[in-house]
Amino acid sequence: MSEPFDPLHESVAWVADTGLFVACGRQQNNKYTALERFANRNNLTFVIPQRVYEELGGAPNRSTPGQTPINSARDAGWVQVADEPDYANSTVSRVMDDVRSYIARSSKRNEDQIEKADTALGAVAATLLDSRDARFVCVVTTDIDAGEGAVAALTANGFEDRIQVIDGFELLDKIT
Amino acid sequence: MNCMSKAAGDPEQAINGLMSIAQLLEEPRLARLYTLVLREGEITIDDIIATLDMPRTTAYSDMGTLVDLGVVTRDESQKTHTYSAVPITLTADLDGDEYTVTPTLIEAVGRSPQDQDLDLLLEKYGLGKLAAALTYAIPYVDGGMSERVAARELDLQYAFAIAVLHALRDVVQDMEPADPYFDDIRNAREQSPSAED
Repeated sequence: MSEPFDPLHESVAWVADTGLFVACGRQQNNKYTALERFANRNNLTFVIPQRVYEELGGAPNRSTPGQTPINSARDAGWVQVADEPDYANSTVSRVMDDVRSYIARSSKRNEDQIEKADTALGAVAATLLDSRDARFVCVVTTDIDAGEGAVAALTANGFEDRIQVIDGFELLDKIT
Repeated sequence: MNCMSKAAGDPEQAINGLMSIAQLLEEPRLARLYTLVLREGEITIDDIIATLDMPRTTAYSDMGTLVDLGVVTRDESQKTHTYSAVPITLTADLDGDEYTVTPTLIEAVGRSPQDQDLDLLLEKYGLGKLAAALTYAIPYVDGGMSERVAARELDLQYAFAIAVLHALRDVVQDMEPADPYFDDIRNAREQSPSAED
């Protein structure tokens, strides 16, 4: 995977998906402390879409995601829940449309089977870049389709070389 | 219905094979043992005990059961007996609803006692759901389906569905090289839910 910018540079916002936290908890001796340490050492915060927060919170108690300490991570400050994406912003909505087409194509589904919520990663990244809250965005996900879709859509909408995707499984391997 | 490659054409063996596979799917301990032998090719009792950390008496008794079921053979020509697995596959077709069971599904069942997500899935939704989840894990692992699309179509709580996909990702990665019938497993990428019924 080519890296157009250094993901650990201070001007980079990290956007994380549900799968990162699930993968973290599924490893032997769950790796949340390693993820927290990684965030603290590099002075970064994992920004998560609202729906990711709701998904993790709504998981059955006996499942891995049901045991994710997402609230304490949020209280400790290394996870932050994003504001709702600015859907009225034409750049954000174009990015979401493009992500939807990308996922539909790559998963061999009709576009009407892809929901707005599936484009949340791209929407949050577009909002951060368009509002100039971040110069660069790094998307961490275990959903390769969604990650690549976000990169393709943002690249097509004027943010080339300002977004990259990091495979959540690889990141966890690296930091643990 | 086609049971165990060797048994093609023989009705008695076909039904015996069906019952053997059903028993593996019902008993995770036997399932785990069977797929271990399949992955290893040839294995001795000592290696089984060391790998699975199980009591010797249990290992002997379970291996005896697998031999009786016809899914494992024992080579007694050497002083140290070795076991090898008979690759099994079963295609069920019930009024057009078709599914091919292969060693990959058996491995998923075998892992369930050690995996809280697979265990919860089996307990709450049953074996059918696990089999369905596997059809999504296959395109998910090879990059042919978005995790979110798979999770939604599985119709489980989202984050839980992702945990199940992650659990099956490990199963698929371990079994693809070992399961000779892997390509026969249904692939959900080819079956859009709206196209059904």
